[in-house]
Amino acid sequence: MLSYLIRRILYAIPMLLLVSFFSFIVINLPPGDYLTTVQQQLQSQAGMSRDQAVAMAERMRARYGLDQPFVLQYANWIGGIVTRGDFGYSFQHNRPVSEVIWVRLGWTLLIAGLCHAVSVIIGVLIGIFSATHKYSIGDNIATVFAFLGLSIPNFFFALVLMYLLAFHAGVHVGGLFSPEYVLAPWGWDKFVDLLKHLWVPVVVVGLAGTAQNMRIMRGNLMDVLNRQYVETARAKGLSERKVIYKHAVRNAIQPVIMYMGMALPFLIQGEIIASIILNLPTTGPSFYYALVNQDMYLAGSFLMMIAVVLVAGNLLADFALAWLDPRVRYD
Amino acid sequence: MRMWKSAVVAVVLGALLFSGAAMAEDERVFFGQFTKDQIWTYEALPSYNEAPELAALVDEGVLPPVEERLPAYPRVVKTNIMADGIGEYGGVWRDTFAVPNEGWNWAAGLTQGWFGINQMIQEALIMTGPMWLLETPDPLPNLATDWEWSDDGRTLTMNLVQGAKWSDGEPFDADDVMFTWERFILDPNVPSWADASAWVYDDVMTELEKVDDYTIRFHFGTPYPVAAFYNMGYSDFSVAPKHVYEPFHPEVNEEMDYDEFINATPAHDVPPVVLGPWVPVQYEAGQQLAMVRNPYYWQVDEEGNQLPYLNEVWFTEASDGEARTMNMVANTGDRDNIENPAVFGIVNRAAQEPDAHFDISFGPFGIGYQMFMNLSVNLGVETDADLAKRELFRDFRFREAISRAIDRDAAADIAFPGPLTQAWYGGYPTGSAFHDDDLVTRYPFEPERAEELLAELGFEDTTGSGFVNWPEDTPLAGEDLIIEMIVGEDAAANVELAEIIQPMLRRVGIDLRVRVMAGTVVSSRIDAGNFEFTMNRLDTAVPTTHLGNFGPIFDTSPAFHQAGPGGERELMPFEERIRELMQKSRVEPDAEVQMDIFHEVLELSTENLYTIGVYEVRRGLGLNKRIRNVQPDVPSYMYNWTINSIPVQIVYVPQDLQHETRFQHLIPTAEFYENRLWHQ
Amino acid sequence: MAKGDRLLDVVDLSTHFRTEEGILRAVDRVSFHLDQGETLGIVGESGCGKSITAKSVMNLVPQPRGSIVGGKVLYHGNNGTVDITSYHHQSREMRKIRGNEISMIFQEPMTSLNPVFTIGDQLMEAIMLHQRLGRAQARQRAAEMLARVKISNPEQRLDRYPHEFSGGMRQRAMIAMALSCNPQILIADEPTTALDVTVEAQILNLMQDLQDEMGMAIIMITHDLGVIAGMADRVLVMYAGWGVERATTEQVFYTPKHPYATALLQSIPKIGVRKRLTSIPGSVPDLNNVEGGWCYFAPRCAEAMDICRQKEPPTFDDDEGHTVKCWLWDKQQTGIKAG
Repeated sequence: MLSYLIRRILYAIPMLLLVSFFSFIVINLPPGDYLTTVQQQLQSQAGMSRDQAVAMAERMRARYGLDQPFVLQYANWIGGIVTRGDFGYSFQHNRPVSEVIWVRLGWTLLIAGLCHAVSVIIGVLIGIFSATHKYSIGDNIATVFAFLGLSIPNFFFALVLMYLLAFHAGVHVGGLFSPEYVLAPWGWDKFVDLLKHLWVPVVVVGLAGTAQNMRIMRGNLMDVLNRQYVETARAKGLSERKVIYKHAVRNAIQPVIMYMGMALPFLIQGEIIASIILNLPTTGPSFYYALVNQDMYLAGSFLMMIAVVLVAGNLLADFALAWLDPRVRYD
Repeated sequence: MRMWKSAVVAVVLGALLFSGAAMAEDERVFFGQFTKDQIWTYEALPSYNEAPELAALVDEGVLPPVEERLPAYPRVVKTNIMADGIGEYGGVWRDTFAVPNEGWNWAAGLTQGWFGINQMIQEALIMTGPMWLLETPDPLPNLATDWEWSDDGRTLTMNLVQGAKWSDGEPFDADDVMFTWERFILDPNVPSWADASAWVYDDVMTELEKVDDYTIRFHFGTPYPVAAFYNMGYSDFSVAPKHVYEPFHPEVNEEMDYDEFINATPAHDVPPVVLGPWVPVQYEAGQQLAMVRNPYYWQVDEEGNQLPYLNEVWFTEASDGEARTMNMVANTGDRDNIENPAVFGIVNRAAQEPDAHFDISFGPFGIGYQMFMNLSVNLGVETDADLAKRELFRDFRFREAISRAIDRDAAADIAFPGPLTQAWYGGYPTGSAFHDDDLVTRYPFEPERAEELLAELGFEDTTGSGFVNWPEDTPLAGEDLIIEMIVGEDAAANVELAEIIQPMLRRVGIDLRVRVMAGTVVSSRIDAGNFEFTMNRLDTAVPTTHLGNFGPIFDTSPAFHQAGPGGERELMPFEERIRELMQKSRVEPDAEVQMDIFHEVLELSTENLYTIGVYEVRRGLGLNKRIRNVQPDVPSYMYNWTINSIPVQIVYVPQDLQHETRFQHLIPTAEFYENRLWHQ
Repeated sequence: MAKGDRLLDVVDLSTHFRTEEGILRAVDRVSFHLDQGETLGIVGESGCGKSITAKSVMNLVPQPRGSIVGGKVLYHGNNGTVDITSYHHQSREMRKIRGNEISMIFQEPMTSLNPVFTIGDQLMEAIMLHQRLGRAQARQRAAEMLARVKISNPEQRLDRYPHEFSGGMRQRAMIAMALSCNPQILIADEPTTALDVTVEAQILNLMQDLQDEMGMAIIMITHDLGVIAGMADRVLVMYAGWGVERATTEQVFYTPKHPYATALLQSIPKIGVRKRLTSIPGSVPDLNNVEGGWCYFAPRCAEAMDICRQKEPPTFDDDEGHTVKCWLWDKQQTGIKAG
């Protein structure tokens, strides 16, 4: 098992290098660079005329090192990561990339973690109910809900929810706090305010996940309940509850657990579009704007992080499978 | 197809819009009503008052009394420009921003987040924002209280406000101005907004001299270079505090480098030292910026009350500007600039709800949408076909044909029905102070005339394709008249307009190929002169500060007629005249004469169809109903954005409507500025 | 209770299933009894209802489609006589009986054991549930049971997973599990069908040994007449949901009464005889929505009479315990084969 683990990690390294290189290329493909964005900003925000903005952008180009050849920029960046753990500089934020990401990582993990936990727990429970009450009214309602949840794009749902809340309920949406509480010290009021805002992203982002988990759980459990060992368990005199939760669910839930490992990259992306719409201080929107504005070190670092987490997630999923199912062994 | 759909939408929205009157009910007019002295003066008053929170701090002994904090002759803002009169102390202004704060060193080109934040903390020598209030637009005094030209016009002596102090109590004087000039503007290693090259007149570099603590003197290489005033305003000459930044400059301190100089005051290092009405006191990156009143602010109202009235300003950080609109509607934000036609309808409806918290007022027409045709025969010309097209565009009859082919009323209606848009014939948006309806020549919709003109030029449909064909003696002989229009995909209104125009041109036989591409690509191609037509949004109504948008004053302007690689350019006669006029304007001190100059430019521009204007838009200003003292006809953007145009320090909220403040314990006193990196 | 005492009386048991096509009468008025210490074989071809009969005895009919709709299953247990059909299938009373007084082992040993739990876990589960023993004691008892079913190294084997056992060993473990609480009745649903012949013999011998040791009665369900011959004391032959003949093993093998039983015996290949195998022509009728009122075997019966196609045959008893459900044995009808 250990040698397997080491081998997997070693394979990952050249892959990550490849990912970083291609990310870098793709980010720099569109003509222009970060300063083209700056130029447009200068015209619209600072009221500069076009020629002034062009001139100013030119002056900044050297400062950002954007006049150097591409390969050199890439080499510097990778070198910085490997030797100093320095992920480069974010032009937009005017601070090191690691700071930009770090500040947002906490909320990202919290919100994404919460969404996943909620979607798994609720999805699994509804799935179990559905499978054990096959074709009943409750099952039908749950199935309709699952299809809705899977087909409604979450950004659309976010928009509709925001519209209803802002325009019809007069509730502050977006962000995690009302303006009075953002910088306030922690206390009960602030916590309540957080909960009032937190339910929106959890519902929006968790909806599709819940629906998916529910469908998977329902299908698997219906399958498992037909297996012989479930009948054996009943024949032993075990209570129905024990038969379902100890024997059946334990087998049916394996794909759900494995899927959780694969869903790790979402922790970084954090459902970008929904986050942008809901204005959450997570890494998702930063990533998006880094790409749009060609803030290349920030964007490149995000892509690297996602690649790393994806590899780790896959590994975790494999280990989870081995742990859950004693028939699976790696050598 | 699209036009049909849009037409239906237009009818529905138009009905909704007309059914409710969300227009400003206040009919008072502030636009163009005042002289400079009627806006503010610098004088001593018999007594002064301050906000109760500051009075409490004075009693505790941590702040000097208000008379000592104010300058000897503070600026007195006249009640004339206050829509609701003398204000009440207290309350909060809640706003939203969507660009990360880069740090507090504004003079080094860093932004504090735009969206009004920059304007709330920076102060420059002169101020342009409130110029819309003047009968005759002219720069307003700010830190420079008055100035005088020498007889030969080569020297400008400016007096600075005396006894003003930075938010940490340190005096503001000419040393700060000189430091900003030498270490920021002149230093090529510092990316200030305006750099040394902006101060070159007639190939001679301007010099700045300190006469005494409160007097400075500019020495110019040419008489009366009045354009220089526009280098003395917001961003270009926002004064930096010398005592803060000097220790970081590499030429003063060998251990420093330019990077540390530029980033000497990072965003989390609060409170910074400012001259503006509020001081930032807390900042959580990605979340919120909180500001409290500056105890040393150097302005008062006519009754001697120290400004500003509002206690606090909260800026919530969002990733997208749309959040500001959402916040205003949900009553968690106090204002929004509404200039996106796609959002007009929905926000307007929300404003008409009986319990709506905000109102919308629409300012003057300030945004224009126009077509550019590439008039250059020197830049971006690669083939004979290119040259043939450029020469065609330069033929006035062709431009007239285009103008006659466009139904501007229809275009305006499709963009957004109702009084928020209207047909426009180029030049300046009609809300501009420099606009004069009598001087505008119009070539309105007359498709038959367009066809006549094209025939005159030798274009006929010889192939039966439905499009006219190039005449015999041209490189493209016999081919359809195909013209490519490039549009940036992120400018939705431009894209829509291009699609509206296309069938109009097809009707008269022109095959307009609209190519939508990434905004940065369009930008690059325009820079290289590599385009035929493009759609452009004119954001400014002030030609004096944006000469390049209206005429060939520089090699790189206007964008649709730039000089070739060696500087060669074949200007048409009216362009020559426009250039001459613009050069004259840069050295004309008399505001009345300036007005005449730009009137003539307007005349020439519209008469010769320099650009093809299509429609213009009014910007809207959404404001929470609690807010007082914002003039009903304030433009959300004319010489500067709303914040600087009111200007914001006179805004107040009546006491019964005020929000609870939260950061008053952070009002900066001396101890907040101790132990800082730059504090000696 | 002594050997020979009545343990189980199944009277007119009927179990139906609701399907898309209608009502499926899987078990239709079947009666039999079981005495202490004896082995009853239930034989018939696939789909005749023998498995469902067995599950009905345990009240383990697949829900919600299936249900016991008629008859009684009287179990004469340690606490008196109870009618199993009167209990809800998930009731506490039923669960006390299952695994404890009546146990069942199934056909596929691999899928009968939960792959994610160790053998020990699964054995101990039943023990701890029914016998209220602590973990350590339960583990000991589990090891004992494994030893009893002749599995070597029982202590270590407890911590292994089912997929680490061979087919035969798994079946032994199943038997161990079923017998761990000393049940009165062991129901074995085709326990050796999925095993090799040699392993099959071992398992059957084991079952017999255990029966001698522990004294439980066995209901052996199979389609293999050879197994019947070796293990069963008495036999119930089923066809299309009916019990068509019930007798001692000798009676069925030497003097079968029902034409189906006769045909079954004839289709067994005999050593030393080289002849073409006789199969029974036709196939089992579709029992969905069958209205009844005729003998289901009639279409395939060589000796079918008119009445067979018009009326359902009753069950005739010859007072020696040999019953048959066939018109041929109605004295009034034939007069020939009586006696």
